[in-house]
Amino acid sequence: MNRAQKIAWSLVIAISLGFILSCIAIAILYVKVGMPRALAGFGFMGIAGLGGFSPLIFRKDTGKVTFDERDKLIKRRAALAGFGASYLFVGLACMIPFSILGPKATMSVIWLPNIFMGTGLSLFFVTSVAILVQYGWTNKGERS
Amino acid sequence: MSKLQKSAWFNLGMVTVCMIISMPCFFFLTWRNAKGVDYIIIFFVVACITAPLFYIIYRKKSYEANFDEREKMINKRAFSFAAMGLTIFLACVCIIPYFALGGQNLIKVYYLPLIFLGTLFAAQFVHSMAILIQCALEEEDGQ
Repeated sequence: MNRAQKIAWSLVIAISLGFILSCIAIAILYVKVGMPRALAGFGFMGIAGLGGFSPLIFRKDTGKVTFDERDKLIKRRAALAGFGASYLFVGLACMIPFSILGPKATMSVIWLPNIFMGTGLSLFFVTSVAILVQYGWTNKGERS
Repeated sequence: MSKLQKSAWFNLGMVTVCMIISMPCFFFLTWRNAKGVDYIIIFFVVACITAPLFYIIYRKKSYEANFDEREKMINKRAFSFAAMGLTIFLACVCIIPYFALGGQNLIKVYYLPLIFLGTLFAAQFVHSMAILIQCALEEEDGQ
């Protein structure tokens, strides 16, 4: 596997793990203490932040050619996919509450940073998945 | 004016027209306090009709198809600037109210579509300005 694949895998695993643990925690807490205390389960999303260390953990590839035109094209396509997905997330996160709750309803200010966090996570997740789809999910034929 | 500059002005104009059309619709929905799953279905049906229509019209008249390598490079750089501008705008709009008002306070739900429309406009504005500024700088260097 090349560096880009390893970083992509670590981001996918970190974000998926954080999301799944958060959902499980919220479900368990909902039964025990009900809403809104169950939302404390979102704290597990902090695990997704560990994916941010992956560029430090996976050092740059050795050799003279580490990043060629094909890598550039793959990275660009993945960035476009991530950008589109994050934009879709912002659109849904903004319009669905507006449609369901109504414009004159109120909501807690804390949801605004949550929207920003969700946008970032969706960007990194979809970009990583797009990189893995284009390079391949395992280590075959990905070397530059 | 080059194809690239025309495309930048065209896209900026289209987004401005969309904002001008959207704002009265938005204020009308706010005034009516429109809510319910019916509106989601209406939005979905309208999007399913208008999106392919715009795609067909825009694709035929698209300026981007005839860009040369230099123009493609300028467009790519402008896209990067637009992505950065969008991220900074969204970060400011989402995080500043949190610190200014406090997490325990409440805001009206109608600020959310305003945030979304704002990000659309900000992204296209930065994209178009980046193209126009790069073209202007290249013309200055050329002279």
